[in-house]
Amino acid sequence: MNLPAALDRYRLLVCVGTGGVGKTTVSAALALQAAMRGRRALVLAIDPVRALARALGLADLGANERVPEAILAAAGLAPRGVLGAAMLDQKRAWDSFVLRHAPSASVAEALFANPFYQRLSTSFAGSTEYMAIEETCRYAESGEYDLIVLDTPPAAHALDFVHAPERIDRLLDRSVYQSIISGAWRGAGITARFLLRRLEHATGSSTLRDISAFFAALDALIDGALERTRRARALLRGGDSAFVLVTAPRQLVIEETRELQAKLAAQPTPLAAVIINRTHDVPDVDASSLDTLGSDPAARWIRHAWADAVAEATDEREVLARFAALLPSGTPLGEIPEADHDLHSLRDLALVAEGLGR
Amino acid sequence: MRARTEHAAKGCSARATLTLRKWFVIDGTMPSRRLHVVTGKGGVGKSTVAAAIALSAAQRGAKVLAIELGEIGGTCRILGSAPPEPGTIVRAAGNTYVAYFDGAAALAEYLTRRVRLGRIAERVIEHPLYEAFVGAAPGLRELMAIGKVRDEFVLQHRWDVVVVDAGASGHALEHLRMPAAASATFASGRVHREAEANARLLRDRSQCSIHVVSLPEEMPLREATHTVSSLRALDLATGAVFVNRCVPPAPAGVIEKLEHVTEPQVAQLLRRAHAWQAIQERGIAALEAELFIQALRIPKLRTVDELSRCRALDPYVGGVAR
Repeated sequence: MNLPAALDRYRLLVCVGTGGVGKTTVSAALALQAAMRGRRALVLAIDPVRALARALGLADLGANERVPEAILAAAGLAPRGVLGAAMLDQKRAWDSFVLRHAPSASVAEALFANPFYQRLSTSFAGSTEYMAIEETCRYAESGEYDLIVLDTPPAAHALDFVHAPERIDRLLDRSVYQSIISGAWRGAGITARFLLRRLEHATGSSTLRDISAFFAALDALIDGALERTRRARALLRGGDSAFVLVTAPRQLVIEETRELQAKLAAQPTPLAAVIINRTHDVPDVDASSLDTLGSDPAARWIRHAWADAVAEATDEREVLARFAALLPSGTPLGEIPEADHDLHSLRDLALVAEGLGR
Repeated sequence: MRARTEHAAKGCSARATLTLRKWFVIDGTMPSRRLHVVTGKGGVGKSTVAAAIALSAAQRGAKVLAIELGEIGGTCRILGSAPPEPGTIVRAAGNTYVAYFDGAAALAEYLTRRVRLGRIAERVIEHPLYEAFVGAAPGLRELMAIGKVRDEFVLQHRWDVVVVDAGASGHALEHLRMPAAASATFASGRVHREAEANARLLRDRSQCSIHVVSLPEEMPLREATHTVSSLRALDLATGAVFVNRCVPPAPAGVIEKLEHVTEPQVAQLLRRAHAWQAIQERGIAALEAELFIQALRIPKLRTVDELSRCRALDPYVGGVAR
C-alpha cells in the first residue's frame, strides 16, 4: 500500500519519530493531503510551534477545530473533504475528561479543587500521553472525522502513549485504590499497609489525604473512564490504525529511528509509511563557473557554501541508502525535500502534502 | 554567571568575540567543579554538545561523568560505550565515564535506601499499589532521577564535572521543573526535602549551569528563547545558549556575485544556502536581543564520526568546561 492509499484506508495514523524531525509539520501535511483527497481529516497536534498553529487557524484554541474555508482559499486550497486541526492542551483535556465522566457537578468541583488533581493535570510528567489517547478517542468516536492524524509528544519515550491505556487501567483498578481510600487499608495486605505508612511518612500526611480524596472523587468517574480506555486500546490495535514513522537524514537521528522502528515492529499496529523530512539531492552539475568569481570574501563564501552543500548531500545519501536497505521490503518511503525557509504557512504545508500525495 | 554572560553579550562586537575566543583556548587549567545540564529540543545536537563538554573537561584533567536521563540516547552512543544498565557507571571514550539514570529505577532505589523499606522493598515495588502510587504521581520518577544526579555530584565527591544530557526538551523541562513542582505538592516529609535539595542545586549558579542547545533556524531559536525564559522564570542556573550547525555569515555582495554563476541549478542551490544563512543571522540576532546574551556558535563540521566531531568541538564548547 502506498501513502495515498494509506490516507484513504486508515481511521487513525499515529506519527512517531525522535524529537526535532518535523513530526508536527508532517502530521499536518498528511491531514491536509487526506482532506484534499476527499476525507474529513483532523490533525491533533501536541505542542505545535506557534507559527504552525497560526497557519492552521489554531490561534483561538479549539473553539472550532475546522480550518475555515477562507483560510484554505487564501492559500489556494479547495479540499474536497474537510480539514480539522486541534491542539492538545493537557490541562483543558483533563478538565473536560472530568466533566465528561463525572456523574454530577459537585464531583467535578471536588476534583478541580483537589491539590493532587491540580498537580496531576498541569505539572506532572507523563500525563500528556494519557490525554493524547483520551482526546484521540473522543474525536474518533464523535463521528465528525474519517481520519485522525495524531502527532505524538516530543519523545524520547515515543511509545509511552501506546501503553497509556494500560497505565490508566492500572491506575484506575478499584481493588488497588480502594485500599487508599478506606484509610484503614483493611485487606490491603501487610505489604501495602507497610508501604502506605512509609509513603505517608515520606511524603507528608496531607499528600496522602489529597490522594485519597482524589481517588474517592475519581471513583464516580471510573466506569466511564475504563470503558474509554478499553475502546482506546481497541482503536489502536484494531485494523484501522497505523504508524507513520518520521525521520531526518542524519546519522544520529537515523540510528535512533532504527531503534524506534524495532519497537514499532513489536506492536500489533502496522507501519503505514516512513517519511524522511528535509532531504537534499546531490547536485550533479558542472560548477566550474564558481572558479571564475574571484577571491574576495563573497566569492570565498560562495565556494565554501557549494562545497558544504555537495558534501552534506553526499553524506546524506549514503546514510539514507543504508537505512532504506534495512527497512522491511515494501514499506512506502516518502521524502520531503528541504525548502528554502522554515515551513509554517498553509501554502508550505500544501506543497509538502502534494509531494507526499504522489 | 548570568550577570557576567549578560554583560559580555551587550553588543556582538569583534572585541567581545575575541575575548570569548580567548576564554576558549585550551590552557591546561583544571575545570572548576560543576554540574552541566544540557537541554534543548530533540534533534538539535544536545547529545553532541553534552559529549563535547564532557570530552573537553576530561581533556583538561577533570574526572568526568556524563549522565543520560530518560532513555538511553546519543551521549552513550557517541562516547562509544555499550548501553549501560540503569544506574551503573561505565568507562567510555576520552577518559570519561557514562551512566544512564532511569526514573523508575531511581525511585525504587530511593525507597529502598532512604525510606528504609530494606529487604521488603522488592515485594513492595512489585505490589500493584506501588504502581498505582507511582502511576498517579509520575513526576516522582523525574524527581528521583534528578536526585540521583545530585547524589553523584554532591554526595559522592568522586567527580569534578558531571554533564547531564537531559533528554528531549519537553521531558527535559519537566525534569527541571519537577523539583519545584514536587516541593509544592508534597508539603512536608522526605520527598519534600528531596525536592527542595534538588531545586537548590539547580538554582545554585556557583555549582550548576543549565545550557540550552538550538539549531540556527527560526523555530528552534524561538523555542530556545522560550526555554531560557522559562528557566529564568524558575530562577534556575541558566548557562550558555549553543547554536549548533551554524554556517559562516555571508559577507556583503554574495547575491550580486551569484548573478555571475551561469549554471541555474548551482545558482539556485547557492541562493537557498544564502537564504538559510540569512535566517540563521536573523534568528540569532533576535534571540540575543531578547535574552540579552551572546549565543555561542558551533559550526557544521564534517568528520568521520560523531566522536571525532565532538573532540573537534573543544574550541567552541571548551569555554563552559573551564
